Amino acid sequence: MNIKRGFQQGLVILAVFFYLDLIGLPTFVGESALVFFAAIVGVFALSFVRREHRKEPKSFVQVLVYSLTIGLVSGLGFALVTFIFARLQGQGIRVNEVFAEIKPESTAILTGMSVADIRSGASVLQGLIKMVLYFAGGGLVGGLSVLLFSGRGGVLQSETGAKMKTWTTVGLPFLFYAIFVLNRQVALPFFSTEGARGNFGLTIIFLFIGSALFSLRAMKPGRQKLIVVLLVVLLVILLPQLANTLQNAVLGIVMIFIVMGIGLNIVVGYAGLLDLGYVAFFAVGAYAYGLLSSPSSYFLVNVPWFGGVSFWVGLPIAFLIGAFTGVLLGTPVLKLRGDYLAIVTLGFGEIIRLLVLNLRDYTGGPGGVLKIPSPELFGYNLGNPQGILYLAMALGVLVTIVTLRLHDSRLGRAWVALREDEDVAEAMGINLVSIKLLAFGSGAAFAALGGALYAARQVNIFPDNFALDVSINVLSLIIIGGIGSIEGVVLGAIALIGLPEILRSVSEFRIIAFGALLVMMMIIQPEGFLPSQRRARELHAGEANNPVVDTEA
Amino acid sequence: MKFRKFALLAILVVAVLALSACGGGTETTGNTGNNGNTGDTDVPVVEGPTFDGMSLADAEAAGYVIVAPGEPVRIGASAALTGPIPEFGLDISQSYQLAVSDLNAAGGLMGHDYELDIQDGACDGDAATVVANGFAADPTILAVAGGTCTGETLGLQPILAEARIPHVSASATNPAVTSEDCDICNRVALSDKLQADVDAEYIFNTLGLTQAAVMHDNTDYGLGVATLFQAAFELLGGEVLSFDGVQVGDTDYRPVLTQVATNSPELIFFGGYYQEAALIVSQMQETGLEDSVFFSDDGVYGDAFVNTAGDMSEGVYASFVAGDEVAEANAEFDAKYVEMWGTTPDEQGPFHAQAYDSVQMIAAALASVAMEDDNGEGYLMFDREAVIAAVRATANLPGLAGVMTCNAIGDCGAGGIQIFQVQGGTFVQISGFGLD
Amino acid sequence: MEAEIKKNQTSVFSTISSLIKANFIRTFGIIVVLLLIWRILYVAGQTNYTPQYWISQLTNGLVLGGVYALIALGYTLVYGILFMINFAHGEVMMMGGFAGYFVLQAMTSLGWTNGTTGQSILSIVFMMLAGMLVSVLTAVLLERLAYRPLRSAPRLVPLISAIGASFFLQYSALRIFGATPHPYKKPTVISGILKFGDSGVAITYTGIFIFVTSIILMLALRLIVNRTKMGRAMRSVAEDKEIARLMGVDVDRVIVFTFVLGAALAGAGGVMFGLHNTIMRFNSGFIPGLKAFTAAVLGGIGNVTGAMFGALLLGLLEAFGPSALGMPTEYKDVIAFSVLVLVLIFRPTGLIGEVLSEKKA
Repeated sequence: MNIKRGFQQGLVILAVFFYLDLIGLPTFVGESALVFFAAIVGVFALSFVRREHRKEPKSFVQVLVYSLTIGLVSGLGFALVTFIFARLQGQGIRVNEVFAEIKPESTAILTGMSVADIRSGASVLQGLIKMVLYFAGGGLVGGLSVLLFSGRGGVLQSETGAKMKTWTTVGLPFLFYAIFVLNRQVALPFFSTEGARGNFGLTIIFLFIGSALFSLRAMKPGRQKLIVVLLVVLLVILLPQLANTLQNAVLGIVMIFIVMGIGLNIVVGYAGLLDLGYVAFFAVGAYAYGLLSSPSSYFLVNVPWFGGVSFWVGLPIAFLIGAFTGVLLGTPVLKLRGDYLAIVTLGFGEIIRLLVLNLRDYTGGPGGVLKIPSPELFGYNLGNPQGILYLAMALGVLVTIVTLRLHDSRLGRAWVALREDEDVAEAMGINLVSIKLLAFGSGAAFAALGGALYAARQVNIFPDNFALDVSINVLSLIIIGGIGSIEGVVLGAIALIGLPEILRSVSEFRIIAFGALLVMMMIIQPEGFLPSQRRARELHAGEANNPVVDTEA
Repeated sequence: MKFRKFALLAILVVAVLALSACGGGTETTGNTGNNGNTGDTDVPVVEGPTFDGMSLADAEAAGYVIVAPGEPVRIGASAALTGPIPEFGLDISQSYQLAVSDLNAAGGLMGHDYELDIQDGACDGDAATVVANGFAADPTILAVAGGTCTGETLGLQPILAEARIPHVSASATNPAVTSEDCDICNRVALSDKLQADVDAEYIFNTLGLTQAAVMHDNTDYGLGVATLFQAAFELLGGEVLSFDGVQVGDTDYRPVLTQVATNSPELIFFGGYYQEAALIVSQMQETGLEDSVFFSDDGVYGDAFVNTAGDMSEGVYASFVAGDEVAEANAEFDAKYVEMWGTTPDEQGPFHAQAYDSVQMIAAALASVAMEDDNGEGYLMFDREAVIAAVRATANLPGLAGVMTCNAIGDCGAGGIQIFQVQGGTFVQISGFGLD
Repeated sequence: MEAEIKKNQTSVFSTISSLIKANFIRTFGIIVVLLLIWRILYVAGQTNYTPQYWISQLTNGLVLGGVYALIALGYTLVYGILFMINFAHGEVMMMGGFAGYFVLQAMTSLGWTNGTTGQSILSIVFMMLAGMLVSVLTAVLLERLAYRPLRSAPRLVPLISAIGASFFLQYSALRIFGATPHPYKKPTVISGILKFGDSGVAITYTGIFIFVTSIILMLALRLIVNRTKMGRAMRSVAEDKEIARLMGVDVDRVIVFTFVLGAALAGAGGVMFGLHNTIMRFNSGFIPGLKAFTAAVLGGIGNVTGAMFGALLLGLLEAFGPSALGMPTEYKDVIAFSVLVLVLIFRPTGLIGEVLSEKKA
């Protein structure tokens, strides 16, 4: 039984490795690829064995056989794959004409031989034996560690454990912050491998914000929570002072996406209107400010009396134009529902982008709007990453307050009613037209605010910056974070906008991982990390007769 | 109960930390050397290297970049590894790496290796902002090779200018990339203006064609070339019958071509990259344009176009930048490229020679201003302003694409515009620079 | 007298205003349509395109629509059963296109593509089969890993999962097959161009092939859905999964079958796309997928005939739109999407779409 299951699961791992081989991971990882793969076998074995072990405890020998099977099957299978590729390459067949990444280099790395040996068709047997041993070892270590740690899981369930848990939850964000500050000041011995770019610091900042959100969610309302909230706010305000340029730049774009996410949350999370073309309003805001301020824009060049606006005038104008566009585009789609609405809004997003691209005389076309002035405040130029981040934070706070007020108002309740059941809402005397338009309008206005700030940050903007993937990113981040909740938006923006920036140097792998993350997240936790509690209940409503899923809310 | 105590403790700890951090922060944020690793206490004042009598700490405080013994000289690179033309970006980044490996094989810089930090600029100004800020945050980055696309390069520039890091682009050809008011902006690629002028001249005078339809791919690059060509062609007295854009990512251009065909143009000039060009060339056969000449730019030149368009590519013209007397060096480069990456450079994209040259140019500039410490302990010191000036002062530097000399605004492109035609499955030079 | 006129006027005004209020959007739509008609007539008077030109554009549009149709049918099938937008469907097509490409390379090296007519046709058949096989495999894996666990979740959840899968497949293909475009070389049988005398109207064999195949496949699909036992099961699952289960329908099997059917069409579509446009690339599926999705909605998503009509209409709009409206060709997508909005104003569930019940919408 164990052997059969181990065999199947070994094949699953083999399939994953075959895929990883095809996308060129060995070449990317380099010398340590074999160890890396063995570690993956270990992780897989750990999770497989643990699942079985929980269902029905197993003896040492059983676990040994089980995990060895997993390791051996995946190892032998992958060795066979590598052997085939090596033989083909040895005969001078260019496998990379079909699979671009299966080059002699990758085979050489996997077998520990030189490229020239692979090309000349030397025997790879020794390398393959090593591979099988590594994989079997990985499987064994992973599988046996289940036995090592099982039975001690009780610690956290005890009373002291629970207390410890609360303490750790609340203390964790502060710990992260302390690490960040210390690392910045004195280069901690274990953490200073980051180089000077500050990616490690960035990761720690993300961990700080993320853990703070979780611990605030876990705490009961009261004085203690208030203190912690104030502390966190203080630390966040100090953050741009402590962070370096890269960290501020990344946090700045994360913050802009948070502003947009909060806006889209009104449309999708509150009112339940699926909008796939949200980028349209982002573009409108960016171009509104850009075209009214850039010295090379049509208006400044061709309208003699117009000398351009400053950021502080441009921002409210962008807000108004955004709101107007939201209402304008919302009007024709009032009657549409569900997926019809989704495709039409997607169409609007494309229409706006194409108009911006093609109305070259007015918008600059693909050449973009260049040299957009930076915001200034009391003589200080806020055009640096730090200034932009502070501005974005201020905007975020403003938008959050407005949104929370809206949510608790009569209008907010009307939106909930609209989301729950459009027909019933109408029957209850809610004016669907006006509340739908208000949802579109306010969501669009927030996106336009984000757009104007984005334009000021970028200095040069191009139509390509406003393609469909921005809409997809914003929608994904509010869903990953937890639809309907503002903490969720923050967390989602960190996960989907911030983290990929750390991984910028791994290029295509970044987007593959992004896609895989979206899928896995939807399967494991469809309500997102920090959903509004109402939405979480709704999302699990259909599973009432399915007690397997644990509703923690 | 315990909670309040904890909270108080937390406040204290955090406040102390934050205050100390602020104190340190304001001192170091003033200069670009804000790496946090060099607080003011842990650097011994007495011992250590000196540079013209200046101590290490003083030099760092003054914004000089110090490379300690055994540490590499670091060059940043922004390449479009994702986005619309990842194959060009890959080609360029592979050429960068080849250039650095050649430099290191030749001994590096006074005992220090060169090191590349390649980031994905994604052919996009948005990504470039983050990339550039990453370089700006890294005090060891002395210069940047890139970016690949015009929008990406324009995204890099304001931030690099602020951080005083010079960049050299291998392939951003739009005229907007270099200007009088940017001292850090340089490129090896030739401005599109030059290319458009030469193309128009060749078409009008040598080919004797006067009726052209202009098409472009609606990117800043393609539209730029097409607009400049239209102006140059009309100036010569040619007639532009239509001016149409196609959308990158679409694959069926027959409706546009059918419309273009109604004017029966003698020639189609296309500004854009090779994928779209390949589609247009093969679909011209089916839309009544089989007798029109197809003429395009340096985004089309290369084996990639011929491979994609197949037989249809025969007779197609494209202009490209290349130099003279470098065939030998290029052959050597091609051989090394194949050995290192397993493909020939021409299969990937056209700009490998320029990419290689841009790194060589940066290295030459760095070598010219590197300052050793007084006692010869192996430290190197760079003055950022001197590096910027040295890059701009490049003159008569031989490269794969020809001899590079920067003009006052940073156009360092070598060689000249040449016209190529596909004959028998490869691009053959038929006119222009170096063919006398 | 005067007073009467005034009274009349006010009543007219009030009637109009109440009409507009009651039917504001529809009024707006009618005005836009009238403006469009005026514009088309105006442009027709200004320009002098020959009839041959319009016929050429008609063939262009129909072929373009045929490509969209092959993908849109898959979209609409899955939507009809599961009410989920399979955003990754364009990528399923792309995978099939790549499979076809490699078979084509193999066949070319064997000399079959340029060999006898029989060999040439056979190589196309093999390509189609390979494309279908790989597409089906991709789709079945997709369904099993990314969609099945989400079956009872609200509709946003599978949509995001599908978007994730789309990115995953697209960039995996970039890594696996490389970034350079893979050029299809047409087998001799279908490499020709059909010319109608000297009229200048020409249509490629691949174009005819695509158009005819898409019509045949659409009809076959209708037969399967309406006449076979499996089709009946599919319709029952579409109506209500729970009831269908109670009636003894193996819901999982039906859903997998739906994905297989849609993917087989997409695989064939991918190969035909490659043969017609001579290029396959990692992002080749994305834009056609988006357009096909639009087409399916235009026709009334969930409806097989509707998807076909929507796709052909979209193709024709892209071909005719710019010249009919006297706009630059860059605006073809703006026109197409605007027409989509207009159509949905008058028919909120698409051209042939049924009025969906609240539960489905």
